[in-house]
Amino acid sequence: MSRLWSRTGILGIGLLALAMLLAACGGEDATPTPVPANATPTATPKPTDYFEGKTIRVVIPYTAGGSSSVLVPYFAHQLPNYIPGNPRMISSHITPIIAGYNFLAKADNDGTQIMYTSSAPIAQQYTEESKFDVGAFEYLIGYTSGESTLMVNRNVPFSDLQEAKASGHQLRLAIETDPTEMNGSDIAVLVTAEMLGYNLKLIPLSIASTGTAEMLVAMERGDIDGQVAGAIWYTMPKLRPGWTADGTIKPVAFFGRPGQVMAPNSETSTVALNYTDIVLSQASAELKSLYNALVVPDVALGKHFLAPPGTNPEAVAILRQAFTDAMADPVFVKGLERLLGSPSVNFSGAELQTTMEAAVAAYGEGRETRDQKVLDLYNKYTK
Amino acid sequence: MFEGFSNALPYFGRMDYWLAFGAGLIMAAITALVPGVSSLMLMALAIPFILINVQDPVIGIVMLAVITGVNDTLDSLPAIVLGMPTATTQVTFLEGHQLARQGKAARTLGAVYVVEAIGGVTGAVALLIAIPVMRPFILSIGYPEVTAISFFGLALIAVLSNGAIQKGILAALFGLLIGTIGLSPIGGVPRFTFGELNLWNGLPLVTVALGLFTLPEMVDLLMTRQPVAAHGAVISTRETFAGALDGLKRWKVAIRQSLFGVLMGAIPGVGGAVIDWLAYSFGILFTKDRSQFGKGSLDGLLFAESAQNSKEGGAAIPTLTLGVPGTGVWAIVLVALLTYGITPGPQMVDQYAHLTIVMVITLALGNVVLTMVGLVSSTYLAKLTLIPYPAIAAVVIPLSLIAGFLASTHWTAIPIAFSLGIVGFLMKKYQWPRPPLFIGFILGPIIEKNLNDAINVHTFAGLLVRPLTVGLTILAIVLAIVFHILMSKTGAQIEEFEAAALSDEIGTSGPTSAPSGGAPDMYSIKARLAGVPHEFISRWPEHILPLFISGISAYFYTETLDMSSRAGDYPKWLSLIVFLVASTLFLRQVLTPKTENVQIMDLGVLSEGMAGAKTAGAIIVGLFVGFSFLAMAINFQVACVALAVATPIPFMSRKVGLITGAVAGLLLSLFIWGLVENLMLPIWPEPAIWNIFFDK
Repeated sequence: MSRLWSRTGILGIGLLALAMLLAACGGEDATPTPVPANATPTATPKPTDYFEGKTIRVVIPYTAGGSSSVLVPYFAHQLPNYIPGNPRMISSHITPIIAGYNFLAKADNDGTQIMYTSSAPIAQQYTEESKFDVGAFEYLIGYTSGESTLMVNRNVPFSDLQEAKASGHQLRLAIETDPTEMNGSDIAVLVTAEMLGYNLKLIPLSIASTGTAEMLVAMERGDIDGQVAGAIWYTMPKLRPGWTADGTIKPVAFFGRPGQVMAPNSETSTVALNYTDIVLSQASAELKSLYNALVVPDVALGKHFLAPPGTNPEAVAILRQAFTDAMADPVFVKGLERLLGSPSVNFSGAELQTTMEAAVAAYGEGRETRDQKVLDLYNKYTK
Repeated sequence: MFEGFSNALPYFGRMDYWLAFGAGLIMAAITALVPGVSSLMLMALAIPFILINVQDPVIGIVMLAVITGVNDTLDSLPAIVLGMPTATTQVTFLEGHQLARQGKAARTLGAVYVVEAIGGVTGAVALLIAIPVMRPFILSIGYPEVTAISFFGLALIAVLSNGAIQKGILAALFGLLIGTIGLSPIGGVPRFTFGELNLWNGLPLVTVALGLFTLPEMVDLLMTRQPVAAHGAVISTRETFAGALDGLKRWKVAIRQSLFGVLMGAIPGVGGAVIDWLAYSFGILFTKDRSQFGKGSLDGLLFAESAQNSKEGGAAIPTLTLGVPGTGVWAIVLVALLTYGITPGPQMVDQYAHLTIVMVITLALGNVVLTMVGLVSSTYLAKLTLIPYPAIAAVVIPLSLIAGFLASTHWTAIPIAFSLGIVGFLMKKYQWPRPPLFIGFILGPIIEKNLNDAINVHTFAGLLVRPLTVGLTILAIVLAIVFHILMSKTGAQIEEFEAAALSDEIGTSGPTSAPSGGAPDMYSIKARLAGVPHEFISRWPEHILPLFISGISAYFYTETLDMSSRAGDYPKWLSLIVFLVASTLFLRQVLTPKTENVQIMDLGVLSEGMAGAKTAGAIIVGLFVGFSFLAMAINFQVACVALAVATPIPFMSRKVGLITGAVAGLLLSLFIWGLVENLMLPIWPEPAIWNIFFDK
């Protein structure tokens, strides 16, 4: 089989030709096509053609059809332009998430197998089925941060979580049906409820893990009062124009990095207080420890790429550099942000590596007691 | 809206529009015809190209919408002609493949394509009309209502179990039970997964369809060594167009069914694999003569096919009105819309009316064009039914196994498919209707998930005061009773008709079945008990299924004892019921003398009683054993090619068999290493035996 076939594939050629034709034909109102992000990376140490003729597989540990089905193909299409040797990149779904991590943990560590993910299954690594250590992987880049916003319907009679208790309103929020699947945002809500003593009712719903659109409909139907999610506040102007501007939906809490100030979205300057700061300064030692171990790492870690433990350092360096170069290219970033619907950030692989190693170590201390506490809180607020 | 039309029309004079349209159509056709290639996969490949290079959102969205919206048009072909159904072409297979066996493949395809075009166009037009008004409807359908709508699916079992009601009910219950495999919707507890992470997502739908329907059908046809079509089959362009005329004559019915499909498609979570069955039963309700359903009914086939194509228009409605994708592929269209800065909602018929109108016209046009393609090619493709099946099987059996594997990308797909293949074949042989099992399997998780969510939001007492929920549930129960009465009447009419015909033939008119006073009383309890050992031994293969199901349910029951109540209660009670029904059926079988074959809503075993069928069966088992060994010793791809090469040799004359095997092997090799390896680069299963020795 010739290299041409193996590198691009029959359909790839067809699609490329078609896209070029479409771009060339354009319409009368078509704007000039931006130059694809294929500029030569700047300041890159010229490595050998390590990846030339190779195929890099990006594992997606989520079912097809979600945002990862669009984001990863974007990277697979664009990133090879920044990797010397211009390798082919493809994506494969391996689910559930533990299976994806298990696969990566024993995959070839020559840089040809990497994974995209938006969470760090630190808790799951202690389960019987898992065969990985989250801290042992080679982190390549993080391109979103993991802060989240708790936003509620207009009819909720408070504008800040600290007023919730006094309002006497029962706040109804959706939660994962599986307590072990709760992410940092979910736990942040539990911690604030415990700290502030407001009336929280968590409703286990299967849509809680699937995302924003279904949750918005559940809010519109009145099933729940609000939702806590990552970039939702920033994508709201696209999903429901005018709703954040006219107060149909309002932010009541922000869970960001310590000291981080919530940024306004494109429609309104309304923002919420950063409850990470409030929790870390006011909560009990037990709640603080919980927050530090389970929420802070998630806030630091958004969507990111990682490689198997012990991956060839040369391959790791090339890939990290490629990601860094891509994230420094305005054309690439513009395309990425169109898909994300919110601004991207650039956490270097080395930075993530340090964060993750610290997070795993922090999680390991007093794990069983803390896990039990989380489970108790889940049961308390779902009853 | 008028302005929208005037802004939309210039697009149809632009070259880039037609290129996008053509590319979308080609990809839709590939999705429909090439096993293992899904719309999602092609869209994932296409979307970076589109979003980066195509600046005009209308063109970009058109291309994605065509891939999504018209891929159902051609997928009936493998089910009808080759006996290769997918998860969404089960009714097509049940009715259409029997018509192909009767030599009516060309005529059937002609009719199918026309109603599919009607369905596609109706769906597209309904989309345009529904966008401004459907929002309140979709918002009024919550978890309780989706649960109640799923009960309609269960009501269907009354239709589909006609002729074998106890077996049908047990099959449906068994389907519900195997639907609980995977993580529990509450608590995320792994249930019956045998430590396999791959099973956390449940049994893969494609693999279940493959095992239950496709493999048994292909094996049966292979055992006959005959072509699919009966001798004297008429396959010509004239027949195809006569079929098209049949379809056109049913335009009113097709529109009614299509509107039903739109409505069902518009409810997120109902799913395409259920919609064709729902549409089938909806059509049966309006039919006076129900005697042909399940035996090759063109009407039944067209009921499902029109709804299948219109449902995509329905699935687009929540996507474009609420930003809630009706299906996974519409989720990709939604992301593309948002990426282009277009917000779903009322503005789709205001600010972006031109986009909506171009999309609607394109969906309609796409369906019509693919219909034309289908009609023109039908005559040639229908001739596949005239080729001896071993030559076809050499290609399609390995292809189906590859498709089954690609759907889950895990080695467990193959043993699951083979195991369910044995179950499916036994069901065929001993007259168990398979559709109830499949429907139970699909609906089980939908019901469990939505019911849990409904109770969590509204509480159980709260559900009882929701008028729509209660109304739909009562309607589903009434419908089940009505279906049962209607189908029983139909069954009785057929029996009377056949009895009368038999009487005329032999010239007698006396009763034929009631025991006379002088005859041994074979219905007394004593006589029955005395006959148990004989019945058990002489009919032992017939007892395999009820015993197997009893065993599985007993095992499931014991497993649930270690589960938390939230995760285990549903499967615990279900397995108990399944065990009781299966045991009762087993006892009934050994206590009741064997009765004559009855008519059920499923395909029987074609090779039954044919000379050499048993030998053929043994050879096929040998081929599958050899395949499995090669897959474990060398690799899965080589095993597939070897199966393709080896299959025709024992079933055809030596020379023809060798040539056919060589051609099939070549085709398979091209498919695997030319297409799959380049397009998908799957993670193939590792050869277990090889790894034992070489410790990879």
